[in-house]
Amino acid sequence: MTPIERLFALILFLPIAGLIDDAYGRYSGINWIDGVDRLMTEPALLESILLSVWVALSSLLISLLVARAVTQKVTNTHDSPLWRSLLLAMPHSALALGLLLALSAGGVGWRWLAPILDLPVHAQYLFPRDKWGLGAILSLGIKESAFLTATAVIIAKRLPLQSYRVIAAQAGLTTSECHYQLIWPQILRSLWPAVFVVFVFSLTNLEVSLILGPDQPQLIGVRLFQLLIDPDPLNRQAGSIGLIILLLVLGLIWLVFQILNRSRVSNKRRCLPGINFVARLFTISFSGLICMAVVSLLIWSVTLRWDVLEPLPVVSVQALTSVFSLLPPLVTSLVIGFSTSVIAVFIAVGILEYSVSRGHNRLHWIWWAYLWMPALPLASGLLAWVYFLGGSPGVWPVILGHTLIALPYVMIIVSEPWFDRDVRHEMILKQSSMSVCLRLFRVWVPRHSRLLFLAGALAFAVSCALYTQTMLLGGGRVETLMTELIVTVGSDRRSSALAGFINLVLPFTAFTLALLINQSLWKHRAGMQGEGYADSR
Amino acid sequence: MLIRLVTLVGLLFGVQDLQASEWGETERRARGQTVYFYAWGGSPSINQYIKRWGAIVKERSGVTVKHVKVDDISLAIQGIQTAKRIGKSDQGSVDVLWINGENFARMKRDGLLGESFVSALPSAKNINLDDPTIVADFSVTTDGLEAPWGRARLVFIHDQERMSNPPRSMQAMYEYAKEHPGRLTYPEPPNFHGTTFLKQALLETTQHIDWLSEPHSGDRFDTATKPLWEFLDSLHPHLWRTGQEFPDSAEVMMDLFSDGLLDIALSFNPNDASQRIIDGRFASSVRSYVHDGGTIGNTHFLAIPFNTSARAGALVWINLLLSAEAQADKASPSVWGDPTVIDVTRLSEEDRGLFDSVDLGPATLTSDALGTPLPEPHASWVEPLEVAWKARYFGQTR
Repeated sequence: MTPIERLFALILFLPIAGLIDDAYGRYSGINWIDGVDRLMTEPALLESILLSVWVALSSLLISLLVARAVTQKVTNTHDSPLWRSLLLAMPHSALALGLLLALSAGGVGWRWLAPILDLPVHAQYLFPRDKWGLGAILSLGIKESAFLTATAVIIAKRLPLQSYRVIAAQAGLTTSECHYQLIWPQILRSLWPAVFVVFVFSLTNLEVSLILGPDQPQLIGVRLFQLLIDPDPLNRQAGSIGLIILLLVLGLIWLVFQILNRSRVSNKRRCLPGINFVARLFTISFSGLICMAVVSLLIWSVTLRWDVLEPLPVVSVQALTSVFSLLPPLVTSLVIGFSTSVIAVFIAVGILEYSVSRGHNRLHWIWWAYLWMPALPLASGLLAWVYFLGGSPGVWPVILGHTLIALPYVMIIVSEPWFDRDVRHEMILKQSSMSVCLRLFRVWVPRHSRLLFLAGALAFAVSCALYTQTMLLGGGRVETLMTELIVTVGSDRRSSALAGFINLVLPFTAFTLALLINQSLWKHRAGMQGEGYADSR
Repeated sequence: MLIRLVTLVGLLFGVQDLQASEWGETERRARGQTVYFYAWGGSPSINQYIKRWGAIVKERSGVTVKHVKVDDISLAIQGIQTAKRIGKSDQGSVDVLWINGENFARMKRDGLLGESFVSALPSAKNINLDDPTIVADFSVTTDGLEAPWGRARLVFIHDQERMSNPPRSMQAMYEYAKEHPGRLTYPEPPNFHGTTFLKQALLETTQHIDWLSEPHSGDRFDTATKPLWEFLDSLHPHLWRTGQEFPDSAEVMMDLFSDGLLDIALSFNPNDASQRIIDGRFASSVRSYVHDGGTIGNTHFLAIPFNTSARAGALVWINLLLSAEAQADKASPSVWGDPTVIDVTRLSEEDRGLFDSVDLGPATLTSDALGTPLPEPHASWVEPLEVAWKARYFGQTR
């Protein structure tokens, strides 16, 4: 562990120490046994846990299935479509709200599909309530497939794919069999940290389950969040104890993941019949659902009222004038998002260059650990750090918090190509008279610029999607589009749809701009044109 | 006698001068302060109102108001509680809070509110501070620790084209639900409106209404609420989604009503339906009504925490919000539609004109039609009611 990694490990330790302190009851003076008793008296707690595990496992399996199919396509065709980046940029909450407005009892999709399918339009299903958590599974499945695919493609690029294909051809395997029997198991071996991230996020996420439910009972993350923010110290203690138990269980699950990973060294590769068809079905359904979610957000942004028996809503473009009230949070989101992405990319480049100079060629687990940590204790811990350093909640702590959350994503995306740089090139440059800084900014940064811009756009998207961190580290005073969206969800459908739509468009714009700026930046440098400038090697 | 009278008049004017000079000093100290106003941010019209009057107080008194939009005020109260716990008695992050009776009772009990301030506000002279709904909030005496800001009254909303004769009691609601299954519901407690529905049902079913104004006790609770649970047990199978699921909030219920999926919605703002007709969210045939036996009414309040960092600014801001001008503006359904706490008979003719010119819209009931509000049960009944509801109906559907 380098000193930098030690520092980040220390920052991560404080939330856990704070939780233990709260759970032990040092401030409240309440015995921790009482906290456990309080936790156990929560109604339908076991049901919440089982439902959360069901949602997390289902989302994870669907994401893996889709990632496996899409990775095959991407590695075979060598294309890196823009839609994948855009999907990665889509904030969870905006997608969840779009799905809600599309699939709820009075949702756009239901209103239009019911007459076509000859179903009673008054039929009530799925939302609100959604007792099987299907909405959360869909939303998480869509988003996490994009994350797993992006990570899997990066891992795949490090593999000698051509050699695999030659061996597969010699063994009489088809392209598909080559991917599923030779390539995918290798990818999966390195993908476990990301798989665990998806599992933890799906198990503990707040935004998606707050918007889509289920809420009778709610998922365990929301239940613990509500206990933690309760003014009653006993409830807060119960929440802290619950989170510690959750972290311990996650630690155990990580060990199981590790054992499973090792046990995958096997000669047998079973392929379930029809699994490719199911994966394709999910991919197509997800595309349809995303389109429906975006259309729903747009429609509800201008809808005054809409009786379920009417095919079209009563709309008013005047409703869009409320967009002006969103200008201050929009500006704040832009400032925080831009600062976060610039700082995160700079720090990531610095750390990676330092790691390369120390001869490292793998990302340290501490970066993954930031993503394994549930949002609430991490945000509380960061707030404790802010107080510890003599600060108080505000915009700067929010930028700091967002940077700490976005940094691991940037590191994950940039690290593999960065560590994989050609040793011969490094030797040539070292023998020249170029200083370390000059080598970095004249050669390595431009060579990876496309990736760095995309990583910056991803950091921007991550920042746009953060709610818990913004609320706690900003003391509730920092208003972003995300906080606006959460405040209006469940109260004003039109305002929340508008906030959701802008929140959706913003990261899309960031990704498009990132690619355009990168292109225009190097248009006068001949060596950076065409395939000559690679973002990976 | 004459000397005594002169002395008394002199003292009276002296006190008034003293109060005026004290308020002048408050205004002087407030200039340049920033007030963080923590209030529910889910309604664009309320947000707009706060923003507009924030600009006015900045212009008139040099106080900057920042509306911190929250969806649950508990988070802000937790911050104040933490400050109290670690002994931080100033420089708090919250300056003014918009709170309900349950949170007020909790803050008062835990000593999270500062000194009594309401009578020191010049605008308070227009408010009847002896009004029972202002003297006590959820049956807990306010003691000037929170300033009344608006009136709330439980009203039911229906579309007269779909339902010409709405049910005007809980029993009638039950009969209607039996005839029209799946067309009625209520928000899920502990949502504020859901709990209010529970309290209304309790008031209409219990045989011991007098117990409800006193602090809760276990034996009395079981006896008083027994008919309520019997009523709900029989009502639930006929509700929306057979009473196994409930909307999250009154707003979600309003959306379901507006979409034509429910026949009745409810609100704690008597002007809500008019406001939604004006901004196009409801059809023009929508109307409000109350139950024949009356409905729950109360007042909503503004409080200043003990550790505010801008007490003078907070006082100036609250004083402006209680002025006739701000209250009349707030009462208009095209702005917010929140009924005033001002006793208009105490106003000058000019100020009274501000209220007379407010068009309350087609769906707002007259004060005669609203009748006398039913008092809220004591705050201590709220949590046991919510817990009992949760234990009885929560998770039973799994």
